[in-house]
Amino acid sequence: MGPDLNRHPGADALSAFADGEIADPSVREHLRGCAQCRAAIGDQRLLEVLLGRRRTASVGPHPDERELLAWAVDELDETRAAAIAEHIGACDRCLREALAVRRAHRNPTAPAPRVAEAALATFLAPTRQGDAPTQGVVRLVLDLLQALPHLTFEPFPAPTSFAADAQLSLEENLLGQVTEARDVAMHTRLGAAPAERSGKYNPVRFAPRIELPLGGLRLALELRPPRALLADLGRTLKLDGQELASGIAARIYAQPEACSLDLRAIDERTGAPLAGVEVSLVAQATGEHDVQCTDPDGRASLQVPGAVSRLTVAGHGSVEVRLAPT
Amino acid sequence: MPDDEPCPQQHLTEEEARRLVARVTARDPEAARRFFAHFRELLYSVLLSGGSLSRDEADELFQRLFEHLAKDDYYRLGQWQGRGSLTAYLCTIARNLRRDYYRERARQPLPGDPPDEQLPGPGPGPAETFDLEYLLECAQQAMLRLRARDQELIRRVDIDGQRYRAVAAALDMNENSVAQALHRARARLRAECERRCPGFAQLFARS
Repeated sequence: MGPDLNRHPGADALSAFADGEIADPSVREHLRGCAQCRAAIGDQRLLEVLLGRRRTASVGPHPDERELLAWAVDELDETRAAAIAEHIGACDRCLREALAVRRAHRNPTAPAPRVAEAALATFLAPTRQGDAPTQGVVRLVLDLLQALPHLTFEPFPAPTSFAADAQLSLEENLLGQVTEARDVAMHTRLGAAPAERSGKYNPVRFAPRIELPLGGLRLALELRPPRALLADLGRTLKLDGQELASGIAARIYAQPEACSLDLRAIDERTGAPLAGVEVSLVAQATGEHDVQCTDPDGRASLQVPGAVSRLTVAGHGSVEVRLAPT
Repeated sequence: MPDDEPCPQQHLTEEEARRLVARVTARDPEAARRFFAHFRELLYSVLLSGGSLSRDEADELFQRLFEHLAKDDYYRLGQWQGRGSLTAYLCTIARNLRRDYYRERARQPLPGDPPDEQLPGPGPGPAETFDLEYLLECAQQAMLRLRARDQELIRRVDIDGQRYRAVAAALDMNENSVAQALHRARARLRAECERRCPGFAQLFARS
């Protein structure tokens, strides 16, 4: 039968145990299962360290990081805990690391991650061994609308026509990426015929790198510094000057003056980089723009000129780029 | 701590942690949700604890962290195998991801950056450095605010490392009284530290 975790040793006894004055096996056994009492002893040990009891000791080799962090969260057994305390009493680097994790553990007061639902969806759908790696391809994550209360999303308009293959391939691309998490954030029905393409899209959050099929080419976009791209399905996309019934707009969260958009144009059919493709970003409000041609490797880097800009790929179409207010 | 107060159930015992991880790696969605709910706050805080990540970057790393844990049928999570602290294991992974991210960021300077400009590395940021020095100073100052008897007890036991018997003899007390008086002195010291420096309270169990 295990120790009764509801019967804590007295505070004096815990202090004395931590000071090595008593070696009661029942206290030791209780500590193995009781986080609260381990925390009390951890507090005492930390105070001792901060008061300088052990700061005159020699540093010695740094402990294994897992042991150090286990000490920080009071989950290291007593015999090793004393050795770690001895070390960090003399080693500022390890003490800082331990304090940073201890603070996060004791007071996880950080704001909630805005991608929690997406992370959970990822966690619930593990990749299988042998699956193609996702790094460097499209990193697509989902986000829920309530995580971004400052945004409003227009309802998905009734599709009337789909004039371009790009639109179709974009949708397929998106669905292909979120298949495993579709029940979390996407409720969409796509059929072969345009009339069957309907449904409600929730906002889809992309990582800083996305690939965007656009008018026969595939555009790999990467924002520097890394920020989230929000694809807002349901907004208007103009392709070769023709407005589609629905499309994709990319929202980019960053300060305009510090933001650039790296892109690479790739032939959708052959996968080869496309050189000499003119790409431009034009600020809607000021007309300020940056125009470049892709290099032999299909790459170009554009400064984002305004909070609302339009990225146009000559001969292929355009998407709206929005910078969210900070 | 009151003798009759039940232990909080918000922590996982070793056995609970082993069972939870086993269920997650066996693709039990309910267990995965519980695991996520249990660790999300801590791991996000750990990612942010270095001080030089923006919230967007922390969001990105948070996403990567759970991708990493779920990759290849929860291979990385399964590698824990019940040895040591699960919390420390996860914190280590989170911190390693953050280090990798710093390296990645340093390798890819922003367009327009001078080529030799160094982006912040994985070392402690100014806030952490300041925190440590400030904490140490506060602890010393708080000691000076205690009554002489409390200072004497703490100095003898916590700084000089004397045994209770020696302290009892020196201060004309019995050993049991030393234990009780020392506990009270430490509580007063901690309260004084927290009063002088709000950051202190974040390092200790809630009173």
